[in-house]
Amino acid sequence: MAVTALLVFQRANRLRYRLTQDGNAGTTLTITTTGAASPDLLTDSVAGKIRQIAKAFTNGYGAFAAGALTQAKARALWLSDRIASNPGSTEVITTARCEITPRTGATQPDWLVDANVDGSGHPILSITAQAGAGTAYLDVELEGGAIGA
Amino acid sequence: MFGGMAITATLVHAGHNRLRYLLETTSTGADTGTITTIGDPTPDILTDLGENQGPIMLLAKVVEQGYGQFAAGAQTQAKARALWLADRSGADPASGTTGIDIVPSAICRLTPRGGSASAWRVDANVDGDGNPELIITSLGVSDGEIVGECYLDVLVGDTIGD
Repeated sequence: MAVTALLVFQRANRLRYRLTQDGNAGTTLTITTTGAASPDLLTDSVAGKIRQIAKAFTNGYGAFAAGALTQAKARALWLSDRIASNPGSTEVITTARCEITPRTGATQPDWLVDANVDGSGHPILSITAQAGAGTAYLDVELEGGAIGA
Repeated sequence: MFGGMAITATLVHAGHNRLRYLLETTSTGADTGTITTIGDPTPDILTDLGENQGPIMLLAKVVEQGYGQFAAGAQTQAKARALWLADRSGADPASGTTGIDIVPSAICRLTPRGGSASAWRVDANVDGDGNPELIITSLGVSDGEIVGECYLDVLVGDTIGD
């Protein structure tokens, strides 16, 4: 597989993955939230808000009703991007955000992270790797409001 | 040290739990730089903390004093990455992601500011004496651009306040 994600840090409020692009063709990776094998945000999280967010499909989360979600809602939950309509930004609720920090690699364009949903409406993180071999760190962490990692 | 290289690192913020540097490059090709932790002239994490005390200072003194499970003395690249990039996947000191010893570690973040083609990387390694250091890489600016700019944050996430 061209792009892999290895969990290297695990706390209630932050997960860190090491992303590796081995240089082969195929530059995308999906991180799921269904309890599948790692990398999966439900499997990899411990008790805390990140785990609650990962269970939005099953349990709902604040204004987010349980059941199939949309890309706009996935972006609100995992990228703290509430600009799209529904659920909007009227409810004060903790959401997550993603940060990518490149470590090695000499090619561009650089790494990208977005949120979307799979065919059943489960949120996913979509990683687009840089074109050539290299590594980067992906942090999935809470947007403000959390004390400690 | 950054002497003689195209990348410069200027300290723009120093707190107990976070240092921020402005990185700049004028090179059109790949270039690298190093931020040390041994009390050298800036950019050096120990020097740049000044009177700030906190986990970053303890991390920077690992060779001298040790830090949690990290014994004093020469470190390895795997340990430097565990300490400064929160990457505990390497062998020793910790097993797996949760680690045996739950101690705060630092992370590094890059936020590009200027220069459409410059891309930045940050890694951790050790010098010849086993002192951890941060390795900064720029892929270079495009012809016609004057400078590429990026902020580097070195912070500890397990803390309250800056």
